[in-house]
Amino acid sequence: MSNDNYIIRAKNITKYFGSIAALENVDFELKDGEILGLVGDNGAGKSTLIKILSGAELPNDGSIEVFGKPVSIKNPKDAFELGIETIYQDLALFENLDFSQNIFAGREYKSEGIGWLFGFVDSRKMQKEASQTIKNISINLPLLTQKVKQLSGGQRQAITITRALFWGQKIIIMDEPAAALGVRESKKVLDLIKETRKHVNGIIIITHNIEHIIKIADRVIVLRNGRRVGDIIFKDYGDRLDDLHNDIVKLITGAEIMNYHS
Amino acid sequence: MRFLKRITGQREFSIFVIVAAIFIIMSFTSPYFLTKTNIHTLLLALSITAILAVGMTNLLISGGIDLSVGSVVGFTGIVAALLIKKAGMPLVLAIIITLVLGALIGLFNGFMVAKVGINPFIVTLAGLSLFRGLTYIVNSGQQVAQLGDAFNSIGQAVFLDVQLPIYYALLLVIIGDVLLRKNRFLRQNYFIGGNEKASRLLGIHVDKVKIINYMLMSAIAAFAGIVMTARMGAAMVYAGTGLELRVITAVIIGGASLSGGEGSAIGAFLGSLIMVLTINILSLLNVSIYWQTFVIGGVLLLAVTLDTLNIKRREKTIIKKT
Repeated sequence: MSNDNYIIRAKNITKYFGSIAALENVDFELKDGEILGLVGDNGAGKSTLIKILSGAELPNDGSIEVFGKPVSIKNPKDAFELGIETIYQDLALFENLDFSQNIFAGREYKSEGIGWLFGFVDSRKMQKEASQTIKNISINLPLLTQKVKQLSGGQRQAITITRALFWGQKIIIMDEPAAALGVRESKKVLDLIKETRKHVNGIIIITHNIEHIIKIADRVIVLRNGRRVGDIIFKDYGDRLDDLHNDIVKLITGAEIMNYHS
Repeated sequence: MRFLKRITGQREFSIFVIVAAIFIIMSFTSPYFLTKTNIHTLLLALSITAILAVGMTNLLISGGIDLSVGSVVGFTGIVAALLIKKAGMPLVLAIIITLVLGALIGLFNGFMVAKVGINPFIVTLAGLSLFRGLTYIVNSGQQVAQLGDAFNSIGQAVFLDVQLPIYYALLLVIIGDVLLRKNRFLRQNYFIGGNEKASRLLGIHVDKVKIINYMLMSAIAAFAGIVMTARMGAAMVYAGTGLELRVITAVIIGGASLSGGEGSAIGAFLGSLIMVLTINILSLLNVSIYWQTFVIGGVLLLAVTLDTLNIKRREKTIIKKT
């Protein structure tokens, strides 16, 4: 492990869909304690990169280290076992179920005793532990027995994060966490992410919203057309947030490179 | 008090109130309603619908549907009869083979839906015609009768003044309800019906669960086919015709949603009760059989409309909140 304490370090990640390169020799690293933004235009390769880290896609080439160990992430379960939780924009929750059912979805506790014979799950134990966790991370949810479809966007994100924390996940990847939310709800989600930082090793946020990323991240990696085109550390800019904003936009759109050539 | 609130808040409770109201009103309206004969008729009609409703509610929870159940009831019914009458098979063996045949039909439906990726409405609509066709083909359109007392007793024997089929139905409803709420495997249907892509990301074997759902449905239909044949003492080629609509209507009244993720076996049972009561009332009030078919269609349309409006209202409140 290097001095920088990388918790994820991916090198030369390449992914083809047919003859089209979605990612070409992309390096990616997440440092311990960091909130990292992953930005880029549509089709830049953000989602593909995240899918590779979460086991939903396999890379054609490249290597990945997680917590200093070389790994191969073949499916979502591998990622989960490495401590990586991905929260997808629309795919995160089961709206027809309640809070604790969502926390334990697919990972239920089995009953002990006679219930075990019939493959029963231990609902009472799951409810108890789920409500305990939510108290520990100071998130407010109204009725825990409410179905998710009755909850607001901010409350939903609270559940997805609680789920990741409950399962002891160390790295959280969030895909557009505040998309399609109103101003007030967005602020709640951003605050929640800041709070979450205290409980995990690192957070990766994919977003189109540069305002949001400037508010919460420490650094952004910019992708364009399947290549890594920039890496901006926010600290370097101090209070010059407008410059920071402009530089990120330039990297995303490619305006800067065009200037070099003309 | 909180317990009371929890119970009265359930959809099943409102259905129960409706059923009770129908009972009270009918007992005053028709002198025949509460006679022993009528209650027996009612319970028998209820048993077949409720048996199928358990399998159907399981399917609807996972986002599936099966329009072929009525035809599978007819087909397996006549196959069971032929195995006994023509092949001279022992009773138990004939029953087992018929149940396995049912499961295989479900395997076919499930494979077409989960692996080939055809819409379940279309797959099972084809099945509706395929298996009704086979029902006619296997015995050249002739009914099979005189199946012996042992076989007939499966559908006709009486225990504590009530015929056996109603016990099968009650048993299946209770087992189904407990398993759907507590069994790890069947609970996966709520995940799949609620958010199929998320279920896959969680590592749930969605295709496998779907195929097993269809197998359960058709095996249950085969069981219903055996019971129906035994009850009538003969396998009729038209047995089970139109049953799919009655069952789907019952299940939707009972709280299952066409969009998946909702439903319970108790709800399916109460929905079946409403369906059967509706038809029974029409008979008692001397409404012609032609109108009964019309009314079933109307009730189905009403139930689906309410379900759709409910989904739309939910979507609206979500948009408001986000």
